[in-house]
Amino acid sequence: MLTLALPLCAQDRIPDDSSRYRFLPTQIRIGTDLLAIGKGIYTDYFKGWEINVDADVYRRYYATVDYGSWSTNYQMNNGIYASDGRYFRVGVDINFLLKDPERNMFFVGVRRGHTNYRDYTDYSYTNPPFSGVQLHAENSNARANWNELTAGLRVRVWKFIWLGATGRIKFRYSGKGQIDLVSYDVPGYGKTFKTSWYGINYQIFFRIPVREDPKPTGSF
Amino acid sequence: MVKINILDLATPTQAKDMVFDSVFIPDQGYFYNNKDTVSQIFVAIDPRTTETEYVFQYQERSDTLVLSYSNQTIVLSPDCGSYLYQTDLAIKHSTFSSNQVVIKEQSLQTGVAVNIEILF
Repeated sequence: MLTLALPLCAQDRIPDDSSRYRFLPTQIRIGTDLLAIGKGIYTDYFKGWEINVDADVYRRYYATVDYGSWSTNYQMNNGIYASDGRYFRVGVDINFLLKDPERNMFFVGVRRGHTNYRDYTDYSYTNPPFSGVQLHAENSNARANWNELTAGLRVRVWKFIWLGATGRIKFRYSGKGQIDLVSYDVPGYGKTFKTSWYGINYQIFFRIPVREDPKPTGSF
Repeated sequence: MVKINILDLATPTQAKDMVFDSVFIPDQGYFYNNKDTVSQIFVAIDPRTTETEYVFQYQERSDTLVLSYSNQTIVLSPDCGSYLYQTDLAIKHSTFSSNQVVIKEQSLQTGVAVNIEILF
């Protein structure tokens, strides 16, 4: 991915920026995931939100941080399963539309995700002579990490407002602290029975200018 | 379920039919109590704890076997629900003679053919 970006570096918007501000972002975008909010409204098993922040820290490279809350409550045929936790992702995006005059963005990126959460299940045991016995299993301090490959768009819709979509492939999931219960739905990652998982965000961003930046012109 | 094979002490590779007056968990329930003739026994574990005591009554004798294990719950899906799986099956206490009871497989998954062999 980084290799793909190298030939485009000659077209960077700040070709010879040797000032002491060259690592200072020209802007910070703060957004939220509309799908997470909608999923919380229209489903009965999920509540959550996510805050997304990115900043152009150096040429076409954007530092990005996501922070979110994720709670599930599944009704099962023999009980319930619930999980609740906070998660964050940190990573880098590479913008391939560096000279777009509207600062629209098409990017690919990588993320590292981490979550701390609690999950539990209450259910009925079915094997005689213990049929009907109520069982409880929980992880009170579980943790998980994973990696992501991302791709997406940011499109300016009005003044300081951008809409964005981010697709992500999650892989290399690693869970810890799951002793009595194997977690089923991990905050930020999702279902754990697959070794890789996907996700998508549909976001609205607000741009905060940090320092003066000549408006990009010319071709991509 | 713990799957127990009954084998002949003289020729341990051969199954042996045994008449059990009863096999039960004290204060919980019976698995066999009708002088059943069997060469394989299936007994449940107590899901609330990590050990279960079994009493085998046969030929006017009574032996006790206490098995220990680890419990772990796995959520298969909302449709299938949560299930309890046991691993690390071990003999915690036994009144059978030494070497009469042998652990063959420590996992209690359904695909396992035999967990314990008892030689008579």
